[in-house]
Amino acid sequence: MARRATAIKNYRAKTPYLLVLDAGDALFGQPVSDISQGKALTEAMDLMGYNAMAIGERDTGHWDELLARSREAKFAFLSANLVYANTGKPVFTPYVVQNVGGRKVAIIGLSPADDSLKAFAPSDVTVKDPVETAREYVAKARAENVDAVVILSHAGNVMDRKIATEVQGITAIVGGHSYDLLQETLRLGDTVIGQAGYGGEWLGEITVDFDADGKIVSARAGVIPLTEEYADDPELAALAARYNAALPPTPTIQP
Amino acid sequence: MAKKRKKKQVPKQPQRTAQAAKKAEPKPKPKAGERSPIRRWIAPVALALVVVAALITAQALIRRNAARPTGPWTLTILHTTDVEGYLDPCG
Repeated sequence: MARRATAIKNYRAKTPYLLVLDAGDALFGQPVSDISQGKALTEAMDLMGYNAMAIGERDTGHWDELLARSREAKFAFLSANLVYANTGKPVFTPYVVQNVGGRKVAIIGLSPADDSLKAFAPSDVTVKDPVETAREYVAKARAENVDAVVILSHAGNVMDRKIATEVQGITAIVGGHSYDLLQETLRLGDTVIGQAGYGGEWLGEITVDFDADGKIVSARAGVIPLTEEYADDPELAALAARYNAALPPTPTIQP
Repeated sequence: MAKKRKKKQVPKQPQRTAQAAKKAEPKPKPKAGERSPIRRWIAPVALALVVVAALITAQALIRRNAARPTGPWTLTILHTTDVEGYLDPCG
C-alpha cells in the first residue's frame, strides 16, 4: 500500500485528469482491517486521495461498520443496484459526478448480482440487474452533460463485458470480483475495461484520449506491478505501522 | 273627494339579487388604444421576469463553460480491486 501511494503521487504530478478508484471488497478480510472495523483501509484510501469505491459482497458482511465508514470517508461509497428490498431505493449513493481537472466525470457503482452477496449482506437488501441499472444511470449521468462515464463494477468480468456490449455511452469499466488481472487492453465498442487482480499487488491503469469535440480517440488499459521501483510512501508506511502495532500478539505454539 | 290613490308597491329586490345584477352588468370596455389595467401591469412584469431568467441562465452557462477546459484531453484512471483488507503486501 505504501508503494501504491508513491505510484499514485507520481501520476498526480503528471496529470490533472486523474481518477483513483477501487472496485470493491477493499475494507475487510484481514485481522488489521477487521479489528479496526475497516478504518485502517478507509484512512489509507483517504490519504491516497481515492475518489470512490464500489460496494463488494465482502464489504456488506460488516454492514454496520461499512455504513459508519461510508459516512466518515472523504471518498464516495457507490452502488446503484444494491437496494432496500421493501422500497427499491439504493442503500448507498448510486453515482457521483466529479470535477476532474475541470472536466465532469460520472462514476456509477455496481455490486455483484450473483449469489455471493446474499451470503454476506443483510436480508433486507437485494441487488438489481447490473445491465438494466447501468442503462438507467448512464442515461441519467449523460443528461448531466458529463465528459466521461465510468462504471465502477464489482459485478465480475463476464458481467462487465455484457454491460459494455449492451449499454451505450460508457467510457470505461473498472472491474473487480472475478480476480482477473487484465494486463492488456480489452475494448468492446467504445468502452475500455480494466481489472487489477486482487490483494493490492497491482495498480490498474486506464487511459482514454479525447479529441476537442469530446470523442474518444484511443484507449488503453493495463496493470502496473508495484515492485521495489516504487519506494514506500512514509505517511502510508507510518499508518500501516500504527495499525499493525494495535494487533494482539500472535500466540506462539509451545513444542 | 278624490279617492286617495293607493300607491302601487314595487316589490323590493333582495339585496343579493341587486348585487348580482350589478356584477352581471358588462364592464365598460376600454376605449380603442387603451389597455385594460391587467394588461397594463402584467405584461411588463412578465416581460421583466423573462428577461431576468434569460440573464441568469446565460450567466450560468457562461460560468460553466468558462470553468470547463476545452481541447483534447486524456483521462487517467488508476484502480485497485479485491484488496480485502491488506495493508502490507508489496502493493
